[in-house]
Amino acid sequence: MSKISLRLFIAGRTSRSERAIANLRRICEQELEDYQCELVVIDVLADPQQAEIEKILATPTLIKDEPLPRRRVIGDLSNIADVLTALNLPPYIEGDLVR
Amino acid sequence: MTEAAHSFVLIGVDKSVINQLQEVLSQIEAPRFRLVTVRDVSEAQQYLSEDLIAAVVLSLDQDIENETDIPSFVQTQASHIPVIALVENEEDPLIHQAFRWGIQDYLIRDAIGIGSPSTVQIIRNALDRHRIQQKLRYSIAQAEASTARLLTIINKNADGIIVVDREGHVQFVNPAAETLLGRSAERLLGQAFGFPIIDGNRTELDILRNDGEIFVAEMRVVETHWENDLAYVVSLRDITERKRNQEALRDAEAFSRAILNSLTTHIAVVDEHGTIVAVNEAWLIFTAESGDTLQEHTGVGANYFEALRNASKESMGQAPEALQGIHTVLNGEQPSFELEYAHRSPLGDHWFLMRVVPLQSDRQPGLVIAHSDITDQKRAAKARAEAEALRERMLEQEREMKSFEHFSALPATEATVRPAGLGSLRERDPDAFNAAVDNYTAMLEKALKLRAYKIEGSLEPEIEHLARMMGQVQSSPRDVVELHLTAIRKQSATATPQKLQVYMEEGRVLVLELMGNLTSFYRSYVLSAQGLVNRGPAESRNQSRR
Repeated sequence: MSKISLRLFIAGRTSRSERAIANLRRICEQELEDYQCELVVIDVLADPQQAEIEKILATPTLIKDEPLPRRRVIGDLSNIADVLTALNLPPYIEGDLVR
Repeated sequence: MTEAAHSFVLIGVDKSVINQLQEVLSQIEAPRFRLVTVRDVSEAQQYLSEDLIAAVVLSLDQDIENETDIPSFVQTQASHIPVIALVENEEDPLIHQAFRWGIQDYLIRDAIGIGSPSTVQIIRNALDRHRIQQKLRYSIAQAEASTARLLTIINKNADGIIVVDREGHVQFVNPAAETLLGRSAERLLGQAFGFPIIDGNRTELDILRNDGEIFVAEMRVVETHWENDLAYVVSLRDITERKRNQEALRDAEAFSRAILNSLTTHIAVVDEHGTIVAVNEAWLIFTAESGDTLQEHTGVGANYFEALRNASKESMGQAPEALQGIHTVLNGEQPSFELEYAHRSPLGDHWFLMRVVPLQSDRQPGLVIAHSDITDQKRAAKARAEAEALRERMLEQEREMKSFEHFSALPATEATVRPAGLGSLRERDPDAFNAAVDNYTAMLEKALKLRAYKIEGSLEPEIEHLARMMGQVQSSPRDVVELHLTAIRKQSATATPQKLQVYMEEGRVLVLELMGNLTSFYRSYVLSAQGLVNRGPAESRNQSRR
């Protein structure tokens, strides 16, 4: 089973952030349930260095670190189909019969 | 009509070639050409401004390498006219050089002639090619101008515009985007922005400026092509101020709502058509308790005027009056309207005060309708009125008793014998008077209980006993009245108005019966004095005093 690593950058606990977190959890639980999904939420107000390293311009920004290639999306994560397409998820693995 | 001739300007061309060209061009029927011969390019310039210049034929020889004005002439002054070079042979190295300046084609000096069909073809092609090139230049200039205008619009746009490629990397930013993101275009170009995703038309982002400030922006995205590849135009609008205002408004609304909800008065705001646009919690609770649990008739969106029209006489008999009053306020006929009404509900009867005032809003006309439960005030007012009426009746009874006393003070007859010359019992014999008051009070209490519990019973023995007791201490009817009033006054200090009323009603009967018994007592005394009835020692004492 392949591992999926996601990092979500938010700016404080606003309604926008809460919505993004909820949407992402839903994606992990419903769309990526057959994968080991690692989700890290980074609040740029609490951890500005992380935002600096990744040159985050706006939030919510979601980065897929694994599997490669790295992908980055920004905006409304409630459009699940678009988010998955943009992140190239679920990953296609030859011989993997799960999907 | 003869068409005007187009000029061929021949620069530095020798006479033999001129003649040959003359013959070749005469073969072309339209347009007609005339030849203008000049020595050099500086002389040719005077003709370049003429409208009907067909072409320039420029003779090239090895000497021109040193003449720097020729390239400039071809590239600049004659750029709007096709220039055809005249050379010695095909291998002439000047040909390549001349093409770099921008000539259309070349003619070989010795190959010009009527017998050479290529001469005419070369000239025609040169003219056509130049025309097409001019058109192309014009189109390019137009496109460039259009692009420049578009860029001006984009650069002057207040919204930040970013073009990102399919990987989400920044390909273009306008000055507004630089300002919004707090970073220069230099830093932003090529940087990862992220693949933009929206659900619907737009979405909100928190923009992290370089200086640490956070702005709220509204993002819109459209697909486009950028440098022959798919790209996305992301427009960002700073809505920080709008969001702050919205939050402030929400806070203010929450504040107003909290105040409204803290009130026990039931409040609804209706628009000019009677549609309920807002209610407070007290309203919701009350209407639910009154039976409209789903808020179908009295909740937000329902029509209050309609609800009043449909209100049953049972629940609100004054609904038509209320509706009329509401319309007088709505029409501006009066500044406010108030109505007291009784409301019957499963929870019991209640009294309400309905108050209607106009809604002070610029946005839409409407009304604020407030219903206050005034049941307690009404009950208190009723109790006060009852107490007042009771007090009046007490005074009346007192006056009645006093007149009775006056009547009983008339000269003694056989039936109304009374001891003469004695003062009031209260003054004469306070102990006996107080004992009588206690007795009388106990009788009042018993009378109250008999009535309250609807018990069969009689006070006759107690009345007879008290009458005898009072007769023995030579009480007068005045003493009976005083006894009654003292007892009632004493009871009024602690009894409820209802109890007091019963005391008064029962007391009225008791007084009369007591009077009757006292009269009987004295009558017995008279009879016994005549030897018909044997009475006790008190009667003897009374007799001895007479």
